[in-house]
Amino acid sequence: MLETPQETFQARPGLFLVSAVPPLLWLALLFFLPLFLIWGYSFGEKRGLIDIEVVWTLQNYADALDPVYVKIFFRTLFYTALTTAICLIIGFPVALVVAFADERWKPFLLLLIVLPFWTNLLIRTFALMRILGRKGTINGILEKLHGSLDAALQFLGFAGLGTFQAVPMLFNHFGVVFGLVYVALPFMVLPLYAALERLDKSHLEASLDLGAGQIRTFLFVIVPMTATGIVSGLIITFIPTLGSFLTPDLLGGPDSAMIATIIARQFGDANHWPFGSAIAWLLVYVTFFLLALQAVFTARRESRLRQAGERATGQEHGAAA
Amino acid sequence: MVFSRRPRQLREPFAYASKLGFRLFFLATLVFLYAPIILLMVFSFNDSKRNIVWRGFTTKYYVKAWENTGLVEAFINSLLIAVVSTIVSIVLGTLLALLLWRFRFRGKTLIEALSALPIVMPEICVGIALLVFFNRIGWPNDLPWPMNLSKIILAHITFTFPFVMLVLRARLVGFNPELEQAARDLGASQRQALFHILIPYLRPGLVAGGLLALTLSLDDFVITFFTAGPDSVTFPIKIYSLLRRGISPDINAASTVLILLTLLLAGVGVWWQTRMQKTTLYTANRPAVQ
Amino acid sequence: MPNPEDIARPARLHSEAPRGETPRPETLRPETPHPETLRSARMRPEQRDSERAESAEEVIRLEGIAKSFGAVTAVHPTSFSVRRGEFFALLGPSGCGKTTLLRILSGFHPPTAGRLFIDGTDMTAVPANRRPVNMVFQSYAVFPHMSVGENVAYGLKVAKVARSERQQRVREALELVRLGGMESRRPAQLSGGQQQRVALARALVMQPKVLLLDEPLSALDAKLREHMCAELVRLQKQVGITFLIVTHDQAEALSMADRIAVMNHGHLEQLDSPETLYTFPATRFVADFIGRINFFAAEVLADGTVEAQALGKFRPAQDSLPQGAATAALRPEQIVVSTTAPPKQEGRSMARGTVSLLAYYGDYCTAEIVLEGREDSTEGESEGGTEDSPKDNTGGQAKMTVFIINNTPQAREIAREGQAVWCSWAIRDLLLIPQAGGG
Ligand SMILES: Nc1ncnc2c1ncn2[C@@H]1O[C@H](COP(=O)(O)OP(=O)(O)OP(=O)(O)O)[C@@H](O)[C@H]1O
Ligand SMILES: [Mg+2]
Repeated sequence: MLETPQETFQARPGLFLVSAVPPLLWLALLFFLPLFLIWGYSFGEKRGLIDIEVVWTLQNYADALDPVYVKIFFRTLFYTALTTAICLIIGFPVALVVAFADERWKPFLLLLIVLPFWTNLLIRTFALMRILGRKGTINGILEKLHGSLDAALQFLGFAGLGTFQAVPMLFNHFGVVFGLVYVALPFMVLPLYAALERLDKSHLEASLDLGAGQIRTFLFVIVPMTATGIVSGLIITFIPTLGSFLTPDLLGGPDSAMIATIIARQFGDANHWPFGSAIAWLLVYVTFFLLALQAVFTARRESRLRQAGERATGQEHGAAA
Repeated sequence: MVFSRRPRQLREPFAYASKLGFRLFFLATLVFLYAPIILLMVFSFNDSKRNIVWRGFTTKYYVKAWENTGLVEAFINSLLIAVVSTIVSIVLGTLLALLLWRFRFRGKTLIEALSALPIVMPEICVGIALLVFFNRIGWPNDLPWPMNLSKIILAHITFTFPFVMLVLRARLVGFNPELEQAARDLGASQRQALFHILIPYLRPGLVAGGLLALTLSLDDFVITFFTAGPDSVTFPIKIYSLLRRGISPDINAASTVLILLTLLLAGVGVWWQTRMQKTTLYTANRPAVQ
Repeated sequence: MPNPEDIARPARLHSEAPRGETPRPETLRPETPHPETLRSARMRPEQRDSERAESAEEVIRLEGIAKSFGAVTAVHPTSFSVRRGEFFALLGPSGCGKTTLLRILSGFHPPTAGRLFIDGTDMTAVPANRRPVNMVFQSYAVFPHMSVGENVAYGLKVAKVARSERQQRVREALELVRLGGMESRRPAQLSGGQQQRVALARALVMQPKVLLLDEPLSALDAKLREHMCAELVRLQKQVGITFLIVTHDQAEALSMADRIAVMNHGHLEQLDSPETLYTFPATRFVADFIGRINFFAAEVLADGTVEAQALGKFRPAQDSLPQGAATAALRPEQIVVSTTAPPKQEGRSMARGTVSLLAYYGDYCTAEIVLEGREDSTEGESEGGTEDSPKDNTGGQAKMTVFIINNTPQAREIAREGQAVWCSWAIRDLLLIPQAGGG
């Protein structure tokens, strides 16, 4: 590891101020102040059509406990947990393939995984609509198959299959989860890949050398040794999925609303900013909580593992006991 | 000795990429990720409204999209917003990265955590927060073009420059501070050392970060949705409103144009990155320490 | 034919594994080189009848094992055997293919060609986790998320050894490496040297047929390395398990091993006891790699005499040398240096020279002596220029490196740059390496 310079404010006050003031001021004014503003609004009351007065009421949070919204919270949680789990199941083998691939292929394979992430989210969602729809590609293929099978059966003298019923894949739960996984997968693969890449391969070989098979090595060596990567993958997938707005909006049906849908509605048709702010802040609280959870986990884990690694490779002085 | 059968060929135990099962799984994942996008692009040339049968090649939907003045205007708006916010993002991101890399000060860990927050904060929260903020300070809504895009630009800079900062910090980890000391030793002033040594070293990071900011800005829907006024429409917003009215093939065509544009940007980024890595000037800076 | 898949790992070898009749170093060979050493520069089992007879005692046999990574050939077809109970070293410069060979043995690299037998069974296609050999990794690879005890118990758990026996054996193994009572420690709480012992215990507890060690000492400092050298030899004697160690450090190999295989560019150069390797290197590479040596371009004439640069004409101790270009080699410690001409003696030869470069090492010095040229033997001596080292006398001024023991009356006289000196040596100490073996 290269040392980084550790200058103090006194050493170069000019450079310090120039590099500190503009970005930090920007963050304060255009990120934290607005967030703080809606935090205040979340304790506010609507007065008239556009006027809002901050009266430090908890009514907005209490309103959020309405069964209608609680149902949506639980649905959001369910969608998100399911999406995260699916991403982990798909993401781990993919990350394994990339991380242990030949050095020449690695950057290329990684690029293949992240490239969709570079294309517009809206367009990707739209592309899914065209695939999953009643008149979409998958149903088109199924219809063709159905037709051929029907013809074959009738030719053989069996009763036909009847008319083709399109499989509903859009504007329902399936469509939403499919879309969420589609969007979130790279978020899962990248941290897993990074953790596997950092992993000293000789640990896996040691496990094999001691007689363990591939599955055992995976469960008892790879998983515990990449635990921080797995946790950060889970969280980095979980947070944005929890706040998804476009996917349920475009791929979901009338009963697929998520938290973000409620928030957006309060700033649109429903026009109830204090309530919208309160729900947005619920999301922010959850985000903070998850980030803190990850930080604590990572700090504890990394400090334990890193020490071990450093000592193993460092020079050792004096005779051992 | 009679050999009953040839011994099975042993394989590298962890070369997952060469195991059939893993290969098929990886391939299936790629199909999952790419099939929708590729089909979208292919069928933008299809002479039919449906995404399943090929009815012959046509560019009529491109013409149709081009004739849709709203769409073209939105596209121009998007490009303008992306370019302006990228430039400002690079400046702010570089400053922040330098601050966090170079200086030791109280509360640094807190600042580090806070400055990465815009990256993880759910977009919907940032979007409505900015909506409320601009509303509260009474930012005028009826400015002439291009000033009517100012709110969107400010919003985009806010969520893109932390990304630039992250990319640059990753790059700075590999910088050998002795290089700057060597320049000073050879008589360069502090400012000269900064501009002759550190900034050139950062260039690949600046390009990568800039491209990232550009695509993030071009892609953004949610935050833009809440900060855009009625007359400041960006490309994703326009597509969204078209989609709300129903799927039509000219959306395919317009989307294809944007996909190709981002692919081009990604391609330039990758090409630049590999070219930079091949330049000895930049790799020689990293001593072989591990 | 034993099916490799059927070979279960021995759940437990006998605690006191039968001590193989370890062939401890033979006494130094007679001073005249065996013509055989020169003949079989590259060992091939079929050429060595003595090796054949011992095949019952061999625990590892490689038959034409080779490995390529794409276009790079890391190991050329190589055949040799490791005897049961011996301390065997694979020695060679960086990148010569030692690690690759070791990883072929442990099962992490499938060989591109050849066959591998462990204890008489074909293991070429047996995966790493079913081979009765265990490895101590260069980075130790101690599992950081397990305690010391869990690390050592890991392999036993996999082999489904009963709990009580497992604990017993873990305790024994840790005591063996002098880490008794440290079961519950975390690897993070151990020093590098201790982690290495954990890795050793973890492999030894499996009672492998062969213990493989990849540069086990390279991460330790000089003092600790010396200590661990002795410790490894002690351990090996105590447990009686065959040790196969990979190293690029000749001192390590010479001091620890019963037999050493010297590798270069993926080829096996020579396989012999340390004494034989040093005294009778079969190839120029081996002579150069192990210890210090002076080379002189030479030519074997039709009558069996040798004409060498700066050394003159002499009748070598070895006979049946192939006629033609050769290299004469002389170790520094075999050269006697004096300020006055030594008396003429049968079987000894001498040359005049000037001390030119002195290097001080505390207990001794090395001096480079520029020999007075012998015009009759330096002309036209260019032999393709295989290597370009200063000790390589192929033309111009001939030099030889000598040792001077410090703090003696003679040393104070000799160890002065520009001092005129006499060098003398016994002719039978001159080693002749035919060009073919010059690598
Ligand atoms: N996985 C691999 N892919 C490609 N080439 C390899 C690979 N492993 C080793 N090689 C090449 O094979 C040759 C032998 O490597 P090996 O690691 O066996 O050398 P070594 O004798 O152990 O060297 P060192 O003392 O430096 O550890 C080298 O030229 C190396 O570059
Ligand atoms: Mg090696």
